[in-house]
Amino acid sequence: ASGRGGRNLHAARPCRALNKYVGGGGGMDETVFALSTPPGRGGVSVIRLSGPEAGGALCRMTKRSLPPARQAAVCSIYHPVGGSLIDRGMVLWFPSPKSFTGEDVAELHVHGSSAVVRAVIEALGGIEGLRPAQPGEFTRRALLNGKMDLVEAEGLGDLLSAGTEMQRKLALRQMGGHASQLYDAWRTKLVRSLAHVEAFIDFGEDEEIHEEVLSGVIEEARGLARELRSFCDDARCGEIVREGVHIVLAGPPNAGKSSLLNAIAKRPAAITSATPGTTRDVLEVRMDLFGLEVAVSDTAGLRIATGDDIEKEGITRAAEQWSQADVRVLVLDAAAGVEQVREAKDVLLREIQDWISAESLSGREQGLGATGCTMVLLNKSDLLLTTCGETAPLQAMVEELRLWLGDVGVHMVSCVNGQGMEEAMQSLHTAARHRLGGRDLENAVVITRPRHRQHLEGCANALDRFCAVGNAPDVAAEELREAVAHLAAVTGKVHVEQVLDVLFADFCVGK
Amino acid sequence: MGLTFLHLLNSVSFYKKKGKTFSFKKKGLCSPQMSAEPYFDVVVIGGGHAGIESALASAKRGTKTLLITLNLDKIGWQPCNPSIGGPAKSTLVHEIDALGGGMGKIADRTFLHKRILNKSKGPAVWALRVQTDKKEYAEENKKMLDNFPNLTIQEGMVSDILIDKNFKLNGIKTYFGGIIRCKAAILTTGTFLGGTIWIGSKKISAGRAGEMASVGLTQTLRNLEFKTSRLKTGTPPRIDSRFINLKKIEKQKSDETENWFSFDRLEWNSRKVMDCFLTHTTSATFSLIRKNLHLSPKYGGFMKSTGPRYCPSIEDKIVRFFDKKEHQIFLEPEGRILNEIYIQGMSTGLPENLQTEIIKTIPGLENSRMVRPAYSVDYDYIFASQLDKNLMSKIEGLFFAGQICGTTGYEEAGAQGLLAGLNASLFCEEKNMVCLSREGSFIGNLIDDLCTKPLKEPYRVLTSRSEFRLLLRSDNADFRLTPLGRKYGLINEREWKKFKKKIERIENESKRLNKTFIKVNSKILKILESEGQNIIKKESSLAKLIGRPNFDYFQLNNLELQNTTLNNEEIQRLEIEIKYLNYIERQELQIKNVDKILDTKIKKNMNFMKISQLSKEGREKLTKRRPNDLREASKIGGISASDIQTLFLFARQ
Repeated sequence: ASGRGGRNLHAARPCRALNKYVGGGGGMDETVFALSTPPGRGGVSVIRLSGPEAGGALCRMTKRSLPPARQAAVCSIYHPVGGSLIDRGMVLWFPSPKSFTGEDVAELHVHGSSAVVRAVIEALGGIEGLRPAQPGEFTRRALLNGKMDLVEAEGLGDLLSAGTEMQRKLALRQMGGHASQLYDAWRTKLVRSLAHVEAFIDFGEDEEIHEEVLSGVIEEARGLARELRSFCDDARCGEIVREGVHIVLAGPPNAGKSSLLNAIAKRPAAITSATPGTTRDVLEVRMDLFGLEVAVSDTAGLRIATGDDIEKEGITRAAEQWSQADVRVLVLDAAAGVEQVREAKDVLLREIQDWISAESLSGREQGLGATGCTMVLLNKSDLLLTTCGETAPLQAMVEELRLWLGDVGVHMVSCVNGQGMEEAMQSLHTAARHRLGGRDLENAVVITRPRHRQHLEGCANALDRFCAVGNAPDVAAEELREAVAHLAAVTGKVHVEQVLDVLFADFCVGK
Repeated sequence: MGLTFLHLLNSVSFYKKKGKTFSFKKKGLCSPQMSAEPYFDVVVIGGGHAGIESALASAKRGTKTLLITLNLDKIGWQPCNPSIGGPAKSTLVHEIDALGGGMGKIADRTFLHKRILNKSKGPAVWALRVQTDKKEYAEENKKMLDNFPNLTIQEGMVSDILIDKNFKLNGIKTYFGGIIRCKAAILTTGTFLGGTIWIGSKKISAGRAGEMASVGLTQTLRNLEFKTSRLKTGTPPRIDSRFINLKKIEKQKSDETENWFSFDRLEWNSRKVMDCFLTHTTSATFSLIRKNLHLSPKYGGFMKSTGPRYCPSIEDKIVRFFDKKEHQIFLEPEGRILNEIYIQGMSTGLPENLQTEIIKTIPGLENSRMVRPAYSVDYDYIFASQLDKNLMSKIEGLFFAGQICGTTGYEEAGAQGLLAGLNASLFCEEKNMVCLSREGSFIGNLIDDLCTKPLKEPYRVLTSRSEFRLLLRSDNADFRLTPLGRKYGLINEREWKKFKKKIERIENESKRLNKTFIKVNSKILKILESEGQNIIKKESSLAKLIGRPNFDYFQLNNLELQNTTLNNEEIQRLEIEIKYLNYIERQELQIKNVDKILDTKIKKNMNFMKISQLSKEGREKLTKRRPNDLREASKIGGISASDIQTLFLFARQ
């Protein structure tokens, strides 16, 4: 077997991390089956079997011997008990270990009719030793059989639920093992560092393993902590792509935020009315914005609340959303006059000044990123001429806003006649991409889950503590062990034997 | 202050006998058999370091015990380096002592050189290592056994194990036809079972140089369907101390410090020490070995088994670490009146004549005379996963301990021996046997590793093998284990009183340190500040003060805040507990979490055979034994910590 097969897996099983995958119960000695395509009417439906009885079941269903491995075979599919014909279709046979789960796998491709599928499922259920698979069981088996590691399995999960092009690419890279490779490289480095510290403790006296070994490890740990930190300092873009960019529409009441949401979503998702304060809670719509998943939130209009407690709570929530948004869109009523825009300008000005002071503290990128992710939409441009008459002061204000937010940051739009909407959507997409830091997400490995980030940061913190107490090897080693444990929680368990293997390979120890 | 280690102790409660199936009547412990065959409760087979501790533990409990060995003159012999202790190994010796064992006491009586290793690496890994006088060491052991109540020693080669039809042990048979009836036997055969020694390509049947191997038992074990295999180890050459040019080598003085293995002060025996010496290999060593590599068993290809990685031969070192210009060679005396010097770092499989020449390439040894050649030995061992963590095998009453379980080292052997002896005695009394948890002691860690992990080489304890290194220290071994020893009758009244007083003193002092506060602007504070580093901004207890990295207990003397009732050993222990408080609490929390998992009940109808994440062997054992909870499951041989994790997931559903 290859390095990953069989018993080796048992040794390298990432126990703690597996909890959620081993939830289903039932052993892998059983053979399971399930419909692997969506239920309902369609061209083809695929029913997949995995486990030791898969081959036997396939023979009984087709009344013939097993087809050649991994080659499509057309044949009739019968009921194994009555012997009646169920359908004519195609079958595929993947003997272990070269299959998705690593076990014997068979696939029945039948016509996509719910009656046919039901008949096949019933027939399979009647065969002894077979049972329906639990949700996610095929992947779980693949994971336990070492066909993929945890990070890759998570990637597969993401790919299956990928709704947008960006998510697909990200998931594919993760499933392809690129993330695993990077994590494994860190793990190898860390295990090596740990082995050197352990060698210093256990064999230092006899084998001329001196303090230099320790200082080398501290140097290495410092570098690794830096590397981990810069990897984590990615503005959470991977998680954002996976979870969707959070766009928040906010602004004064009756500026038309809900109408704008409906226009963006191209469906009437929110209730709209001419009454200010119609929207009270936060309403979220998920959509594909030019290949990027976004979650657009409509919020209650911001004003000194005159209404009831419900509106007050709505405003609190709106403010909260605004502060956590990836992209902020301030929606103003162009027809309401210059006053509203000026007020908004003052608000923005204050915020921008905060950003600029933050910028001088924590580097340029953050400040610039924040401005690039803020937009102003002046809604109701269709009403502009009829109500205001004089648009020059407004234009001047817009120009002023553009000084801070850039040309793409400010748009005049109309939800009624669609004027400026296309450009605004493009700008929204630009702003969302900007929030991702302009990173090349299609070719880079990024963190896609908070769980990974939490452990990588935990690892970096433990490494920092290790460097701080490096001169007391007994406690320092504990910190290093914790660092390894954090990384192992993402990539799979590290055993003491692995540490000792490195130890004995790197040092000439012993009597 | 976490001075309560008692919760780490772990005794088993599920090895209950299912009713009496003994073929003989029970009339107290020394009940004679109906037949004329001699009877003992426990027979210990082998007089090495495992056998000695087994016999002591068993006899100490009042169990009628026989130790039977191939050569009575070689009891407690140190065939390799006559050295006791070192990293992790010293902790084992302290633990053996805390459980009333003999190894630490004998080492304290017979040492001729001692050093504290890892002095600069933090107190958790400080390690005492002593060089003993090998003649004295063996003699002291023999004397101790000779005069021990309930213990008989006898020469003989055990060649068969007698069992009844229920697969229960009921006696042993010697090669020359002697039959001894017993309820329990402990096999501690060391390197003697099917032992073969090798020098170059020549081999001869022997357990040690000049001593015959033990034959017959191997076949018995095979007949009983124990899985066995071969392991290899070796020992370097010895030279005559009178032909060493001391001018050319570096002297290593014995440490002056008062450090001892035994917790019993009566055993402390200050005596004159001897020096060790340090030299190194040269380029001449290098090229001579290179040229003759084909004559070594490994590189010549006539011996397949590989030795332990931490004990590489000199040819291995030169081949694998070719860029290292020289390797250290330690010269260590083997006795006070013995002229033999052990050459640490010179293990070799090369033929005898070459060994002489290689030694002469080493500075200081140009005119040396080799008195014993280096040799390798390979021998039978059993896969210890066939044992439960109480060291009993599937044959009820048959225990294994020491090198036969796959370990190397006197300390590892002694540790297992002690537990096997205790359990064999408990077994005879039909009482629950004891398992030690891996988080509670290095002995437990060692046995857990042996019973659950595949073995690639002879097993040696290393501090890196413990997940709880900061808890499993030398200084607190008595706190961790002596109460258990007392409970099982291994600690006598005097030792117990002394231990309780020690706890009391440390706890009182701990209270005092935590309750005595230094006030801001007090005189004491001024003194501290005038000394420089210790700036204290707010009221602080003495314990907090000691917790600071740049402060130690002895600085309390300057402030006249010390407590004179504590001795140095107790002060040291208290100081470690204070300074490591955070880490200790962290590890104790981990243990608590593990402990909680172990309380998980296993359903009566759980189908272990369907849990394919467990090994086949593990599934079968669980099905046969049907443990009630995970704690019971964790004591079964072959069930590892990760198996327990898996079982936990299934048991929780």
